[in-house]
Amino acid sequence: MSEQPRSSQGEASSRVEKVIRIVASSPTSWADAARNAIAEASKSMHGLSAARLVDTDVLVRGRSKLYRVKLEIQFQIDRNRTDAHGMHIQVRRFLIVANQTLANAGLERLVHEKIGDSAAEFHVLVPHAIPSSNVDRSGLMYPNMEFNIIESHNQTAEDAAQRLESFKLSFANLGTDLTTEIAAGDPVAAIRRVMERSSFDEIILSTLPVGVSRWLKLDLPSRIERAFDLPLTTLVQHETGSR
Amino acid sequence: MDSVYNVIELIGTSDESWELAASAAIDEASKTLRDLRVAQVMEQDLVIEDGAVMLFRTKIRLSFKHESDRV
Repeated sequence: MSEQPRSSQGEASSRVEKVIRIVASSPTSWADAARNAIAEASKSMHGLSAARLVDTDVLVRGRSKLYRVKLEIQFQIDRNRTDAHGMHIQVRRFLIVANQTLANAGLERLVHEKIGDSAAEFHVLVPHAIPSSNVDRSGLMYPNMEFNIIESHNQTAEDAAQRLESFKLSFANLGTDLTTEIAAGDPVAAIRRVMERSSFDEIILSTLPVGVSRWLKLDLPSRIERAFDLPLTTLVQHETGSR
Repeated sequence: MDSVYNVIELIGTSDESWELAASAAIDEASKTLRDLRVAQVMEQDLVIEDGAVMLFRTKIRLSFKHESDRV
C-alpha cells in the first residue's frame, strides 16, 4: 500500500531488500495461511517488515477446503544494521550446514573464530534424510517446489531438532543473531532454497570424517562449491557428542 | 435519472484478519456516510514485526451517492 508500515527505528537508514513470492495454505483461513507463511519465512530471513497479498484461492477436495495465499515479501539483504546503542554497523553473514556434528565442540570453536571482533549473523541449516512416507502436499510451498515434507513422527528429524536445541543453548552465550531451520532432503537443494530467501558471505559445512560421513561420500563440499559462488569452510569433526 | 457517485479509499487494520480490517474501515465510513452499497477490496497486505504478523491491512474503495448540499 501507499504508506510505509510502522518502523521501530526512528531514524531512516539505507536498506537493500530482495522481493520474493511464497505460497502458503491453511485449512481454516487465509489469515492463518498468511501467519504460517510469515512464521516459516522468518526462520531464515532477517528484518521482514511487510508482505503484500498477491493472490488468494481455495482448493476444494470433497468437503475439505484449503485456503491458499500468495504473498510477496521483502527482506533485507544488505549488511547494514543498527546495534543496541543506535550505531550503524556492518555484519558478516554465515550459513552453517550441519546435522550429526551440530552438537560437537569443534563447531562452537569455529563459530568463535569466525565472529572474531566483528559483528556476525548465523543461519543454521540442518538437512536430514527424507523418510519414505510423510510426504504431504498441503503444506507450505516455496516457488518451484511441488510439495513440502511434514516432519512429524520422524526419528531423523527429531534427532536433528534435539542437536539443534543443544547448539542454540551453546550459542546463546555469544550474543549473536541466530536463525535456524531443519530441512528434509538433499542438502544442496536445501541450501539453494535458503539462498533464494537470504544471502550470505560464507558457508560452513560441518561433517563426520571420511568413511563415516554420508555427506563426504556424496562429495558434498565440491557440490556446494560448484553450486554457490561463496567461500566454503569444511569442518571435519572426529568425535561425536564430545560436550 | 442521472446520478453522481463519490468514491473514496480507506485502509482498515486488524490484528486478526483481512475481513475484520475491511469491516473496521466500513464501520468508520458508515459513521459519516449514508447509503453505502458496495466496498471493493483494492489491496491487502501485512505488517510484520519480530517475525510474526502484527497487522492485517485492507484497502477498500467505497462509493456512495453524491448529494448536493441541501439547505
